[in-house]
Amino acid sequence: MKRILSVLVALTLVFALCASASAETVEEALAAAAGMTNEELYEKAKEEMANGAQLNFYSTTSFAEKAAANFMAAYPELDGKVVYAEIDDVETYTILTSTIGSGVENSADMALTQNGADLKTYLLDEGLSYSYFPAALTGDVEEINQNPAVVTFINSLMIYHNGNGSINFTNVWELTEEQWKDKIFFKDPTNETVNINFLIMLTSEEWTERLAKAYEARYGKAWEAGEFTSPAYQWIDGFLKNVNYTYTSASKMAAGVASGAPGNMGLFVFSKLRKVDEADRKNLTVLQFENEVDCFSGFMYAVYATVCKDTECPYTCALFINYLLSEEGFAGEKSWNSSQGYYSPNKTIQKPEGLEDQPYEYWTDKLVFEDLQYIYDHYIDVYEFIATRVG
Amino acid sequence: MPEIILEKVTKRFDKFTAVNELDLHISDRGFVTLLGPSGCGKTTTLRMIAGLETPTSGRILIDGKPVFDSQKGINVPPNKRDIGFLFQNYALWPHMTVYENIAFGLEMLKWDKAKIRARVDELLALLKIVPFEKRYPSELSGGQQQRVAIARTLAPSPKVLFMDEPLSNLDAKLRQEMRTELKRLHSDTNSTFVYVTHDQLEAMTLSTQVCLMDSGVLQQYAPPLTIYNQPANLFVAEFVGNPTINFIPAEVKSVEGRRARLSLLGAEMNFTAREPIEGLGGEAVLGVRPEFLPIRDGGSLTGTIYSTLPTGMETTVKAECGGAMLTSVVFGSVDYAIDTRVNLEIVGDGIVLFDKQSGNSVGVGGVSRG
Amino acid sequence: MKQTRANDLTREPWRYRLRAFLSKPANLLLMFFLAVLVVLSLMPLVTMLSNMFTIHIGTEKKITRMPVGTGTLTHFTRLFQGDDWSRVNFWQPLMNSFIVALGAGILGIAIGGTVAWFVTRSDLKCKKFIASVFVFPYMMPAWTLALFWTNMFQNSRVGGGNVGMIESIFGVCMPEWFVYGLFPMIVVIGLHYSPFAYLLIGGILKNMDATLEESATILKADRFTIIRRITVPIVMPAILSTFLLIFSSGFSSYTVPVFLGSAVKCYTLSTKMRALIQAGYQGQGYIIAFVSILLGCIILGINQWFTGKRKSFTTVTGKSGQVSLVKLKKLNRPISVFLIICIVFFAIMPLISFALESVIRQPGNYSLSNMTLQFWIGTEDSAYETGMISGILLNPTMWKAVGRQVLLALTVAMIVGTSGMLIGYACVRRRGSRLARFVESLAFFPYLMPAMAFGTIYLAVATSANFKFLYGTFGLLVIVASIKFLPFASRSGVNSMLQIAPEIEEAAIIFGVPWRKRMTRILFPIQKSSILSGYLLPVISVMREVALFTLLVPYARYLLTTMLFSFNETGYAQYGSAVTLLIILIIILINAITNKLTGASFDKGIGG
Repeated sequence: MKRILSVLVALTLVFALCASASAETVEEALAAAAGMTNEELYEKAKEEMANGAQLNFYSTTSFAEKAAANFMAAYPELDGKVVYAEIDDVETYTILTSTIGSGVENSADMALTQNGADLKTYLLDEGLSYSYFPAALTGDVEEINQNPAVVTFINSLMIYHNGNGSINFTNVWELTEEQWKDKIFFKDPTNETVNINFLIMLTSEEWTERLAKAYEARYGKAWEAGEFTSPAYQWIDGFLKNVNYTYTSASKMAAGVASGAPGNMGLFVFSKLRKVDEADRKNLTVLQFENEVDCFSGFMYAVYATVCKDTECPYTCALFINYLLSEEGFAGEKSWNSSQGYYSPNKTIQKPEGLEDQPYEYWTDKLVFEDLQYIYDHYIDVYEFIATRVG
Repeated sequence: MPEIILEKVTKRFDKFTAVNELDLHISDRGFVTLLGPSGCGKTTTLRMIAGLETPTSGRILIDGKPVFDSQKGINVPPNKRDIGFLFQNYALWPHMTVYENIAFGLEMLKWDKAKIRARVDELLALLKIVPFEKRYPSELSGGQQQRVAIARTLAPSPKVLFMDEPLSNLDAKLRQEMRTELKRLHSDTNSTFVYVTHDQLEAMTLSTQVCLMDSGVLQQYAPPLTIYNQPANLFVAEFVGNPTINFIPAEVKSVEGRRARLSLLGAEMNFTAREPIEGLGGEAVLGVRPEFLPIRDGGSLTGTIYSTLPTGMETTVKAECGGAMLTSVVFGSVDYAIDTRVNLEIVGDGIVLFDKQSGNSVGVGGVSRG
Repeated sequence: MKQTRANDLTREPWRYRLRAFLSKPANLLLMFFLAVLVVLSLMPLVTMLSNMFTIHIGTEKKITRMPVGTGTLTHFTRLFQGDDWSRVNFWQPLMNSFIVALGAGILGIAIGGTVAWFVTRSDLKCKKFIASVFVFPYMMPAWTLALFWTNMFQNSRVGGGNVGMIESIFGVCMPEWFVYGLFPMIVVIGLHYSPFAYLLIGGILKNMDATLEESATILKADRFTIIRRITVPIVMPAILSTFLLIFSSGFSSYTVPVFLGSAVKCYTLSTKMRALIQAGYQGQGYIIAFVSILLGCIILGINQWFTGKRKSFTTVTGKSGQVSLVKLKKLNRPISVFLIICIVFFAIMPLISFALESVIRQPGNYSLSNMTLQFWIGTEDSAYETGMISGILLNPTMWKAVGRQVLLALTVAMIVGTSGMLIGYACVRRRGSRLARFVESLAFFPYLMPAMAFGTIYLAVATSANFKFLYGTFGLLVIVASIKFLPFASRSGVNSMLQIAPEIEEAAIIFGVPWRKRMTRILFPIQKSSILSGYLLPVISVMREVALFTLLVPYARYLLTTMLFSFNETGYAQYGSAVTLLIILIIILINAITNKLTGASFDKGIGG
């Protein structure tokens, strides 16, 4: 009896092994791809395309569309079968969780998405998509940005109308004071995930400490627990009381602050500064460039690339991610690097000369960086705290 | 006292002339009917007098005062004309009870509550609708609605009461009943009634004066019996009377004073009018009411029976005679087999002679053989 | 042997009855629509109900540590716990929605009713112009009015301090409550639906027996007394049911509160629902959706209770051609000038405003030097700055989106218009039967369902194993839009069929005319104009719908409206304005063409 059972078990195992060997899973393909050179990947990708696959590539930014076009130009034998689909930022994960693995036609093979914590919650944890990172780049990219792979960082900076230099701002605690009431423009964090992520990050140990220090610097006394259990919550509370939600888009915020009243501040995506009229630009002080501020001058969030579990072209996806992480892909014609406010995690890629910007390393201790694991773990507590202060 | 005078009143809608240069004199306390086929302009006339419609030109006087004068630019609004108006569909306000409907006009006159109560009660009693006081119009039958509408119109005791086909929505029996009551009401209320109808029987039975109109033009304005016995023209003669008058084409041989020699249906006859005949051309039409054309052995006209319609009290007989279809009314119940040959005779002195070309009456009188 | 005979006897009548039942086309139609609607209209509701009691992927799963799909009451207990969370996420938005809906209802009735009275009952000058332009705001998507409002009234003292048109021209600064929040929401939604009130009330005023007012005139009532004591009470049931329709539309309005409310943290139930769903609190979001539906049902109930009572007056009688118009005399000119100014401001200015906003480089600066046609006809190189590949008129993506939107609108109109007419026919012929009543309410039900919830549920359906072939297809959009916009079409179908006496069809039956011919040769031609209008309304609805489609399009630039929404979210304001203008122009154009060709116009569809 026992023998029969063990034979059965052995047989099952053999079958399972055979089955998996015959059809390579996406996960395995990605693992294999990580060790390959671009040339090897190109060969594999060509095979995939020849088998009738097509890379449906979902993203929220128009730079990605350009990058896809450049990619196809660089790898012409893929027959231009990389199809870009713009996806609504707000609905990204609703759509992806429903479509990936459902077998619907043209569902995503690969997605560039923001908001790492949601990416983990909705896609990675559920096994709907996998992260991929090429072994060749492990030395150029910090480990924390490899899993899932960050394609680009984007920063939001505090930028204010300096009233011809009459207004000076040096400490983030000022933003919780009465004088800033309704003068800070910030997109509603319950609607803009990267904004709420920034606030959540403030409650982390590192930023709690730094906020406490800045508090002391500002008020000359140590922060004490009272109504709030942490300086981060106190700061968030005070900050949200002063926030003005008039602008629902960063471009309008940039242009509006520049042409608006002195003393207004926007905390918005740095790259949108290009929307500001030349004539108004001098009104603006971009914090950190022009003066030091105690604690932080904005925040940095990431766009991640993951490969969906039911793709038919994992190698093409891998090749594309390699491309996006390379200088050629990130700094190609009209790509991210040509604009201020986008930073490759690949430290070998520098911002071009003449652009009013600083490289990635410059920002690392000045901005609140998104830590997807921390946000993942603390989302709920902070969300409810914030949501009751926004409605 | 309230006397209504219309002078050259004309109403045009775009190019269509609804009423053309109408002159009318409605005397005090009369019961005048505006009679005519639909589209003849009678309702428009009524609405113009009431002030609901503005005439294109002309002059209207009520009680000696001009309420409309196109030349002087006078146009008194309906609420200042001191009139009552009873609409064809009653126009009861569906959201008000019977009481509220009747009291409305009195409220507008700023009567005090007790007085209104008393007046409404009086009208409820007069029109026998006391039990319905608290009901809404949709909970009433057609006849009851009609009474409420009358009560509402009478409440402020208007000196002139206009009625626009008020009985046309009622069934035959109820209509008969309401006619009686309207006539009674007229004498009780002591006011002037102007009444629009297309039903000639209604006009005949109710009114003191009938104003018969066609295509916006006044045809005849006279007491009902005059209209019946001395119609001014072919239209009036045909419109009034049931069964319809017989029109017998005739050739005029000669005219002399009160006499005319006619050739009709293959026979020669003499027509003697009460007054001298004027305006008669070569061709004439003899209007013979069915009661003046009895079936009589040895009658001068010969025909075959086409159909017999007995009603009990009298019998209407249709007979074909020399190519014309003649109607005769015979007292009592008689039955003729179809195609029986009969003789008919023109009798009496109520025969009307019309000139064919103008259609106008040229004389009323009798016909004799020979 | 005997037994079988007995069986036959009992069986046969049943069989005959079935055969008799099925021999009537109306019954077949009802059965067909019952099947279709149970699947397409009832199913989303059931899904939604079950969503209120289950754990979803993401946040909920993390909070409760329960697997996805577990049954639970936790969403209810959380939402109605009674703390700040409940206040902020439910009670306050409920209150706001209620205020907005109430205010918009009253305002819409007041404006629409007043204009309706002037147009149908007075000798106002320029009636034709007023009547035809007054309906524009209803053809425009409601949020375009909201956008217009902020374009107009934003000023240096409010919000971001951007200078709007009014300030830059007149130097007047409106206070914040005027620019953002409940007040402008009420105004914008009220204005958007006022043509609706105008058409419904105007229709009744036009058909209302004039003698009802004349008899009051003769009884010496003055103008105002007549309006107060006679006209308004008689039109009241219509006013009330219009009010309720506006109320429930205002209650579930999503786009307007987004544009006018979020700036000042003013949430309504619908914006809160989306925020909750998006933040991962799907269960609570669906509870909010359910509350909206429940409220809609209550309103519908009130409406039916009213129309069912004596209070609903049949005011339409035979003689009504003789309406004598009230002479406004000296007031005529001032009133008509005032109305024309208002109408031009709310119906034509938005078009001008969008045209302007689409050609200025920097917002708020209306000088000629700041103007450019780049956003319309810019080429690839110069348009890089603006973030899109090229100006919208030269952009193939954009023309494809236009094509799809128009095709979708026309397809949906064909389906919805035809279904509406057939449902109308079947329900009227079998009036009073339980089946007909059920089908009629099933067809109306999608009206109550918030578009967003509808879209979310259909996303889940279209990605499930059995229906995955639907996802991302044009067909899915057609199905969803057809169901969502069926209510008004079926309503107008019922109304127009009610006006045809059954004898008309029976006369044809006696001649042996087959059913299809009876429909196409007799019933349809008789009610041609009203039925065609039933086709036109869905065209307009589809042309301006956003919330329903955002989740179901394969990509954001698939349709014109979803493209527009992403423009507005990403801040391509000029592209947004240009596309908005284009949408409005297409709608007006379609209405005008249909009107010219067939004499039908969408406004006739509403009155039924």
